[in-house]
Amino acid sequence: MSSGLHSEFFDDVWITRPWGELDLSLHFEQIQQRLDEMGGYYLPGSDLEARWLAKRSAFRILVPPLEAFEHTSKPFEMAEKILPVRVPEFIALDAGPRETYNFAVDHGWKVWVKGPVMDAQRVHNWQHLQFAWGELAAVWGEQRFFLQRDVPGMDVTVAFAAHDGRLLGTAFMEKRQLTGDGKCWAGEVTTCSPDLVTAIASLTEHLKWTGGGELEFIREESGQLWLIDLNYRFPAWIHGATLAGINLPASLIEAVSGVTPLPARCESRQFTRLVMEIPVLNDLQFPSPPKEKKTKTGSIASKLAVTSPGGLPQLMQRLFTSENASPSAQPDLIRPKPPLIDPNFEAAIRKSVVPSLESPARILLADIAKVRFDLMRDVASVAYPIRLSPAYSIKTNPDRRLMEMARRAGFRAEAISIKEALWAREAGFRFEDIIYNGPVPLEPTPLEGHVLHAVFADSLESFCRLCDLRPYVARTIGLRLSPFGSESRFGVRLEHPDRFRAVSDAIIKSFPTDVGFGVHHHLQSSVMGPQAWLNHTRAIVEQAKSLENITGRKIQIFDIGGGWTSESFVPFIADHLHPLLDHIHNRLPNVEEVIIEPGKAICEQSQVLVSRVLETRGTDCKWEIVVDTCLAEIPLAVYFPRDVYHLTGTGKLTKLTSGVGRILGRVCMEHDILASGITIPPETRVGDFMIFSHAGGYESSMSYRFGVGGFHE
Amino acid sequence: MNERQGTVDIPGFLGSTENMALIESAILKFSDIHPTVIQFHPETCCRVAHEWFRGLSCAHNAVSGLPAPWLRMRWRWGPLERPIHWCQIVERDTIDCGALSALTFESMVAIGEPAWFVQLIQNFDVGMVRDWEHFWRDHGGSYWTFGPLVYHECIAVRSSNDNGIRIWDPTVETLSDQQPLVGHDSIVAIRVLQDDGGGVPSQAFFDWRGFRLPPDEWCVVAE
Repeated sequence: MSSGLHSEFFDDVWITRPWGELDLSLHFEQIQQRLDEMGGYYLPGSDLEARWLAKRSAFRILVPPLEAFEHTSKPFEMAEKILPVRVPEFIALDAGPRETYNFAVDHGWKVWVKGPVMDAQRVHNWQHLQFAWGELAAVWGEQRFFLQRDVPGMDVTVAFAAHDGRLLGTAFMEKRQLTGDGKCWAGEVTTCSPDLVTAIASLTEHLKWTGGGELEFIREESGQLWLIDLNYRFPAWIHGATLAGINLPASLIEAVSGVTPLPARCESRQFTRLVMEIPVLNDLQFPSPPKEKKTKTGSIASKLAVTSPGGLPQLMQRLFTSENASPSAQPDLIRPKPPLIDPNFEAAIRKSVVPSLESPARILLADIAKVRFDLMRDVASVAYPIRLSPAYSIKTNPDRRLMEMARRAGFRAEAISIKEALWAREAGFRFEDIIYNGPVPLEPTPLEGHVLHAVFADSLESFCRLCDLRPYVARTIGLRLSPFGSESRFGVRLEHPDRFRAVSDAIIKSFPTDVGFGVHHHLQSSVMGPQAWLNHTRAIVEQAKSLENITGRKIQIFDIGGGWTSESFVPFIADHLHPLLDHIHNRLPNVEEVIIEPGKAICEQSQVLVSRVLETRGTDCKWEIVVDTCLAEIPLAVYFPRDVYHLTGTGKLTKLTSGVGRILGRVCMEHDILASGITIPPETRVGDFMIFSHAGGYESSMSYRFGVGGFHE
Repeated sequence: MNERQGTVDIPGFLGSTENMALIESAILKFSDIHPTVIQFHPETCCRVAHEWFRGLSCAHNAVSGLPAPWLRMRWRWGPLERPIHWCQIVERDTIDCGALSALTFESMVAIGEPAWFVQLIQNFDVGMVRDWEHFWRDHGGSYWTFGPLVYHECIAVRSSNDNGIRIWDPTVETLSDQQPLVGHDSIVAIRVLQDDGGGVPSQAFFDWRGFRLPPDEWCVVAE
C-alpha cells in the first residue's frame, strides 16, 4: 500500500493491470520497447517477476539465468555447499505425517512451513501446521512444501550485484529496527568479510549470475550464519547501502553499459525508513474504498495473499501451473521415500487382522509392546550411581495386559487416583511399588493402612496435609513442582519469593523426619521438544536444589516425566538419559532413585485401531473414504497424526502416502476427520481394512461411546 | 586514539577540549560512587531471599542459556534507596541500574561465570537528563547526573579472547558492543572494577572493543 507512484522523484509512471490480467507476451514486448526507446535497463521488483523475466532472457533485462533459479531452489542445499553458511534442518511435508510430526517435535515446534519459492509461516502444533499447509496449498497448488526449523539469532542480509557471473560488489546489513512483520525499518550497512565475499563470488560465478541479489541469514551468537532466503533481485533496502557508500545498482549498470557513475559517498553507515504523506498526482486519483471493509481471513502475512493488489499469486500460478513448469528442481533429499513397513509390524498385523475381524477393533500388538518394556527393563538394570525406576502410567492405558507386561518388566505403577492405585493392585502391583500423583489429594482410607512407594502433592495445602497424616501414607512424600516459566495448572510454583518462603517454611516446620523427601516434575516432551524438556528438567533440579539448601531436607527421589513420543523416546534414552542422571547426581547428591514415567512412549504403538471402509467418494477433485470408526475411538485425531495402513481383501498391505485425500469418520460431527493430506489408494474398495497406528496411548484410555445406540439401565 | 583497528592504550581522547573537560569533571564527580552492594540482614530473611534468587537464576540459565534477562520482567527501572537488603529487594517492583547490575552479577556468580562490575558515563540529550533528575527529585536528586552526562552501572562478562570482556547492560538488556561512542546514548567513559570480581583471577587489563582498559581506572572512550 506504500505507493511511490505519486513521488516527484520519478520521471515517468507506467501503470499496468495486475499480473493475473496481463498478457505476459505483450507485457514483455512493451518492456522491451520502452527499454529500446529509453536506452535503459530493467531491474525486477520481485522474485516472481525475476523468474518470469529469466524465462525470456533479453538484453537490457538484468536478471539471473533460469538455471540459477533451478540450481538454488529452497531450501538452498546447493548454496550451502559454496557459501560458509549452514541451512537449517528441514523435511518435506510429503515425507509422511508421523515423520513430519516427529521432525516438529524434535525441534520443539519451533518450525516454519515454507513454500517452494517464497512464503513462510511459523507453526506451533499439528493443527496449526495443517492449517498453514492448507493456506499455502490454496495459493501454490500441489507444489512441494517443507518444514524447516527456526534458528534464533540476529537478522543479517547481504545484497550483491553481479554481471555474467562476475561479482561486482556486496553490502552487509544488520537490521537495527524491525516492523511488526519482521521487515527491516532501520539498519547498519558495512562491508562483508573477505571470506564471505570470496564465497559469494564463487556462487555468482557458478550460477553465471547477472543482476541484483540478496542472501538473508540468521546470525547466531557464535557468529554462525544460517541461510534462510535467497532473493533474485536487489532488496528493498538497497538505497540504504547507497547511503552508506555502496551503490550496487550503479555498479551493475556500469558493468553492463560502460557508463561510469558518480562516486559513491558514505553519508551514514546507518539508514532508517520514514513514513510521509505526499500529494497524490492529479491523474492518478484513488477510487473510493470498498463499501464493506475486507478483512483477511487467513493468518498468513503473505506476499501471495489473494488480496495482493499486484496479483502476484496469479503470476505464480501462471508461472508454475499453466505453463506446466516445476517451481524448482527439488533435490532428491526431500522427495518422499517409498513408505516402508516395518516387518515386525506387518507380521503383527497379519497375525491379528483376519478377514472375520469385527470392526472397529482396537488390537493389541503384544510383540511390539514387549520390545518397549524390555528396553526399559534393560535400561534400568544398568548400574548407575542412582537407581533408575521406570513407572507405568496407568491413566495412559489401563489395559490389564499392558500393566502385567509392565510389572513383569520391573516397572512401578503411577496412579493419579485411588481407584487407579487399587486397579494396579488388582493387576498384580504391590502397594509399595505404586507412586501416587495428584492433582486429586490422596484419600488414604481405601489403602487400609498400606504404604505406597511415594506420594507427590500437587499443592502446598495437599503437601501439608500429607505431612500431618498418621500413619504415613508413603515411604516418600514429595512435591510436584510447576514447570518453570509456564502457566501450567499443575504443581507448586516457586517463581515468587513469597511462595518460595512459604514452601520452605512448610518443609522446615511440618515435614516428618522419618519419611523420605521427593520432587516430581512432569512436562510433555511432545509439545515442547526433547531439548526444551531437558532444559526445563534441569531448571527444576536447580529449584529443588534451592529448596534443599534452604530447608536442609535432602531430596531422595526425583520423579520425571514424560509425554515423549514413541519415536523420540529411544533417542532420549540413548543420548540424554545418562547425562541427565549424572546431572541430577551432581546437583542433588542425596537422590537415591530417579523415577521415569515414559507414558505414551511405552504404549502408543502397542495398539492399532482397525476399521473398515464404508464408502469411497470423489469430492472436489479429492478422494475421500468413510470408515466405520470415528473420533470416539481416536479422540486425539486432530492433535497428532498417525500412520494409516490399507489392507485389501486380497491381503495387500500398504502404508498411505501424502496427498490430498481424507479419511472421514462414521459420525455426524464436522470435525470427525481421522486423517487428511493423504492419498487414498485407487484400488480401495468398500470392506477393505484401514488400520490406524499409535492407538495404544490416550487414544485408548480416553475413547468413549458415541453413535452406537443406547444402553440398558 | 579512536582508531579501533588495533588495541590502544587508555587514557586517550581526540575530542574537543571542551568535551574532554566536561568528561573529566564528570569523572571527578562520580569517582566516589561505588557499585551497588545488596546486603544481608543477620536473620534468615535475606538468606531465603538470596537462595530464591540464586535458584531462579540457575533455572533461567538452564532453560535459556542466559541467567539474567528475566530481571527486567520481574523489576521495573526506577529510584532505589540505599542501603538495600535482599529481603527488601525481592519485594520491590522498581530498582535502579545499580541494583539490576548487582543482581545480574549475583546471577553470573550463581552459574559459575566470571563477572565484573562496570561503571559507565554516558552522554544523553540534556533534556532527557533533566527528566531523569525530576524523576529522582525525591531520591537524592542529581547525584548521578552532570550536564548531559550520567553515571550508569553494568556488568562485564568474559568474551572469547583471554582478556576480552563484553559489557552487558541489564537496564536495557543489551550488550554494549555496538553502542555508539559518540552522540546521544553514547558511552564516554568506563571503569571496570576488579576488586569485586566474584573471586575471578585478577587481570592486568581488559580488552573491550579495541580498547585496553586498566582495572579500577576511569578510561575515556568517547570518539
